[in-house]
Amino acid sequence: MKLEQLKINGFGILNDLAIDFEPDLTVIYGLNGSGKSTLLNFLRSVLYGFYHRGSPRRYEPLRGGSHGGSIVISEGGQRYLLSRVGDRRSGGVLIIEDLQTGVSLPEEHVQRLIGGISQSLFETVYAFGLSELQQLKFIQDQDLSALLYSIGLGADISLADIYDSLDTAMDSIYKSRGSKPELNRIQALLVENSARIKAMSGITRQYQELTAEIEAKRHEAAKLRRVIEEKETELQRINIMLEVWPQWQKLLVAREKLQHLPELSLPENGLARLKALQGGLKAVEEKLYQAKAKLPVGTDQELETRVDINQLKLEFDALAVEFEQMKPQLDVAAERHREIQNDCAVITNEIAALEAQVSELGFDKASPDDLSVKKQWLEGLKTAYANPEAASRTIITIVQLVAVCGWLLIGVLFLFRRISEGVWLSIVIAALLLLLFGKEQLSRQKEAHQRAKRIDELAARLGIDSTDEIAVLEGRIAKAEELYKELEQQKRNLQHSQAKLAAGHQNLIEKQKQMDKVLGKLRELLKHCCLPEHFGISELRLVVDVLERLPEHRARHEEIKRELEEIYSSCRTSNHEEIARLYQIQTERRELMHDVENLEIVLRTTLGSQITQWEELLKSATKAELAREKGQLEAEIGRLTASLDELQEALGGLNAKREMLQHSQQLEELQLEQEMLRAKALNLATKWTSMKICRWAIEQVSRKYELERQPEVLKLASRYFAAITEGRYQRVYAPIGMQEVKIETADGEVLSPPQLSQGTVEQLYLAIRFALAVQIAREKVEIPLFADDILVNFDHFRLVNTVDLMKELSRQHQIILLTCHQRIADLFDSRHVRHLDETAAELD
Amino acid sequence: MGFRFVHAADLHLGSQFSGVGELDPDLRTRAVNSSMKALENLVEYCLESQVDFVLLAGDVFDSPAPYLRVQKHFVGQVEKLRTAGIEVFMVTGNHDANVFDSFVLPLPDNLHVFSSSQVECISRSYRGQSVTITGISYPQALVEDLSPLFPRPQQGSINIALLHCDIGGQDPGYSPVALADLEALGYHYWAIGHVHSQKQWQSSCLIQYPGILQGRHRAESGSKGFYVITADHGAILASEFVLGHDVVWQNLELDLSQAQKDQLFDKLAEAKEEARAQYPVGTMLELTLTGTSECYGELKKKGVIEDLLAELRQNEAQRADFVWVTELEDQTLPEIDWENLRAQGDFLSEVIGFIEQIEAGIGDIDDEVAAAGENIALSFGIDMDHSEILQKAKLLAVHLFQRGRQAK
Repeated sequence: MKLEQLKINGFGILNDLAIDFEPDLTVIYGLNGSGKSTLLNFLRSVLYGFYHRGSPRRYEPLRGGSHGGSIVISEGGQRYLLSRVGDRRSGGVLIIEDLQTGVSLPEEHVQRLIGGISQSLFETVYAFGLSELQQLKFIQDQDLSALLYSIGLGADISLADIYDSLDTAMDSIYKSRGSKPELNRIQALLVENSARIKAMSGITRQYQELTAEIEAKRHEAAKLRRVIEEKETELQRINIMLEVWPQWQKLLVAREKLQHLPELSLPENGLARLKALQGGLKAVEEKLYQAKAKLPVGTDQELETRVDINQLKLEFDALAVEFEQMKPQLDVAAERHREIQNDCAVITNEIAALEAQVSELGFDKASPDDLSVKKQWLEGLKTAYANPEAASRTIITIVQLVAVCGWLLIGVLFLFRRISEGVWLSIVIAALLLLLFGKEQLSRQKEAHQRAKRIDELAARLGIDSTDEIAVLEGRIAKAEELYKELEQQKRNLQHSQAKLAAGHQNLIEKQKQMDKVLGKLRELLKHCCLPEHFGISELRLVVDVLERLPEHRARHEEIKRELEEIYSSCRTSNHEEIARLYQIQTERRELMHDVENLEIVLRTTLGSQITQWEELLKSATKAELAREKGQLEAEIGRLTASLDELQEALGGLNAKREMLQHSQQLEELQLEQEMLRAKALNLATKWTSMKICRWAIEQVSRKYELERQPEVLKLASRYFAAITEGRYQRVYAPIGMQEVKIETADGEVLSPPQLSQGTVEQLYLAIRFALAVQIAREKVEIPLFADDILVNFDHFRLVNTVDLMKELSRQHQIILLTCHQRIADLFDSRHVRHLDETAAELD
Repeated sequence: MGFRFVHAADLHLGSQFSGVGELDPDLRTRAVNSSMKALENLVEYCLESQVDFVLLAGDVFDSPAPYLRVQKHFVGQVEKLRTAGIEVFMVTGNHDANVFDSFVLPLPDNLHVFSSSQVECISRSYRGQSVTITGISYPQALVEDLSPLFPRPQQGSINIALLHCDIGGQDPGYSPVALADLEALGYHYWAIGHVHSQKQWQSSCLIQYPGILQGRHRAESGSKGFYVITADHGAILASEFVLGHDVVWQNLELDLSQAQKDQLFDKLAEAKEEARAQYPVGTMLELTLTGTSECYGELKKKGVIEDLLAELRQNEAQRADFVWVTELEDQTLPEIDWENLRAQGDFLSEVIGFIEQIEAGIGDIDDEVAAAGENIALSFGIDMDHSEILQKAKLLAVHLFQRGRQAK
């Protein structure tokens, strides 16, 4: 591809600019700021599109014109117009026109034109400025080398970086002998888990073993339990024996004692009966004595033997009946007689009392006449005292009073009227009145005197001093009259009672006679019985009663005595002490037998029906032996129980373990864990391997570069470098695997780029770029080289040499050099030089 | 209505989830018990639906010497069926040949394990209909085609064959049988096991693989369960697939082409909820992120994927219908012109071309490099996916060079 022409509509500071290019070498001269670098970027933008919006390298038009422009290129005998214009897309749009046919070609056709050279490759190899060259001097050897290989990678990609990052990433995943990388750690975990799984995978066998062990232990436990049961039975036997031991001992003693006590057949309750009989005997005797003592004094003690008590009783009873009949009658008669006597006495006394009262009143008790005389006297006296003129006297007194009052009235009237005649009249009246009243008073005094004389006479007779005593006397007379009446009544009563007394007395005598008859019969009976004559019916009744009861007592006495005899004969002694002793023995024996019986019951209760066997055992044992045996058994049982407990516990543990085994998902979890680890491992291993392969592929490709391209490139580079340096540096090479460029001097000295001066490194890289461009042109496509002021650091000789080299190279490879140095531009034929300022100025 | 029976196979009791690098401790118990829970689900179904009998077509146990707990669980579940009067007919497979030799627990009498020395025929009558079940267990892990041992079916009976076998299998060890041979035998139903996904062939007879009852890794994704077969009047009438799984595996691809960086988590969460909505049980979800996306750079940042995972996994472990994102597989591409890149012929395209040549089988991996990977695989007992590695290597190369470029 050759660049023929360039036309800029608007790109940065450039606008409406057209430049024609020589097919070999074109030098574009322009001062700083004239737009040389802009031009370079324009070419790149036409081919690869505008930089994205906002990028400083986008070069939006600053001085007008639409963004972009066009170039004319020739390739393989064809000419094309490539126009890059602004578009919605940031890269703009490329229009390709076949200038021969006028046919528009698709945008993709540009790839064919530039031989698929990528933008990065273009920028690295074909379009470079001083900065790209100068930049190199700061880069390390290996980076330089990587940069060399990255020709084709793009300007800024460092293979070394890529290897580095790959190696780091791979190492962090896996190292064949590492332990820290992830995959190594997983491997360790896998191994560890495998061991655990292996250890656990015997779980089924373990289960079977456990089951067997559990069975064995169960069997053992059952056996042990049986032994313990036996021992416990034995212990129980001994415990029973020990428990009954006191009873057993008591039984033995009781039996022994019993053997030594005679067996007596004494009457039941003999001793008590003996005591009771003795008491009874005493009581009977006492009763006999008491009965006899009751007989009245003088009774013949032998009477009972002499009289027929029954006959006596009959006789006595008949007599007693008679007596009992008679006695009340007599008593009643006597009583009646006595009552009447009393009545008479009472009446007599009453009469005496009445008479005394009369006397007391001052009247004769014997004559009632005295009383009537005195009564007449009193009447006279009373009449004397009484006044028959009393009423008229009152009237007179009233008249006198009225007269006086009338007088006074007249007197006052006159006094007030100053009638002196009146006064005088009054005085006369007063005198008349006084005369009248005086005469009246005189007649009255004479009458009174006669009456007083009569009263005094009568009073003297009656013995009273004052008129007051008249009423008293009147009361005494009334009272005395009543007493006289009563006295008469009582005297009549007395006469009546005296008559009754005489009749009662007669009756009493009659009854007394009949009683005497009865008593006579009593005396006869007493005599018959030789009892004292003075005994009354009651004494005899006592005697009869006593005699009647005596045989009963005697019979009881006999009976008791007989019973006593019975007991005595049973006991073969009448000695009470002996009898008591015998009964003591009998009681003791009975108690012992009872004890034995009870003990036997207790033993039977405890020992059961096989008591005889137990007795045999007990007989052959001693307590100490039993206690010792018990101790031993208990210890043994304790020991066995402990073993059993241990066994049970072990069984529990085993069962739990077995149960756990049945439910343990640990193993499965571990398996899952393994699978998870493997999945991680697979992931990582895949990643690691892909990195490994990626790295390897990159290595392979770079080796191919080294082997297939580099040698040719380096050969060319060596030649070009030698030409520039006039043979000072003979060879440029890249040892395989070293990944770096070495330079060999004419003296055979091998140097690394950092050992070279800045200018020399730039020359080296320029040489390498020329070589690459030529080589790529040989293999694929020729792309014009654009070098932007790259010669400024070169000394004069090398500058000339480089210019010569460029002239030489340009014969087969189009070169466009941009410079702002006149001296450099002057090194070229003016035919090749374009003045950018001029062009720009022209356009301005 | 005739009789009904359950046909399950490949319970793989005692096997564990694999391919999951991280799992919440709460979910580990769920994971460890999932295969057993699946069996419980099956038994529960049998009890509730009162099926007449149960067929287990081999690989009931993952190992010929299952863990004690697994034994206990299995016995317990069969015991449950016993109390309901449901018989269990079972053959062993390549995983559990002679498994009962290692059983330490007594087996319930409703479990009938077919002999491994000869084909057995068991006749029963269910709901007035004669049923003959013919089967044979594996005498060891590897067996030849066992189908020639099967006798002619019994007349007047519904004939069911019970076998662990590999239909059309090429491996000589897992009773490889030809479909035509089975069909030719004239049974009504072939209750078979071995293949872990559901498969069925319906011709004169019905031949079915119910698949594994509980998936254990990403390759055993989707619904897992068992068949419930209804038969009457001497014929199989219906076959219904009933879900038995406790945890379902799902692998979803999430195209992030249209997604912006700040939508990333929402997209993922959305995908998670979609997965949850699929099944009411627990879910192990692998999300593969694809597409040329602006999320590319974000996903490549250190710790971003881990953070996303952590956030997606938050509060999941306690849910019965948990969705555990097992992995966020980032296969997104940067927004670059892949074709162009290749056409450019620069270093990166050389590297990619180089790897693609290996992928295409043109190039060979250096022995030392290959050995390094193989050694790791060997020492971990893992099986690495060669194409996945190369794919990753390619993406890594893009990333490395892209990063270099972006750094600029």
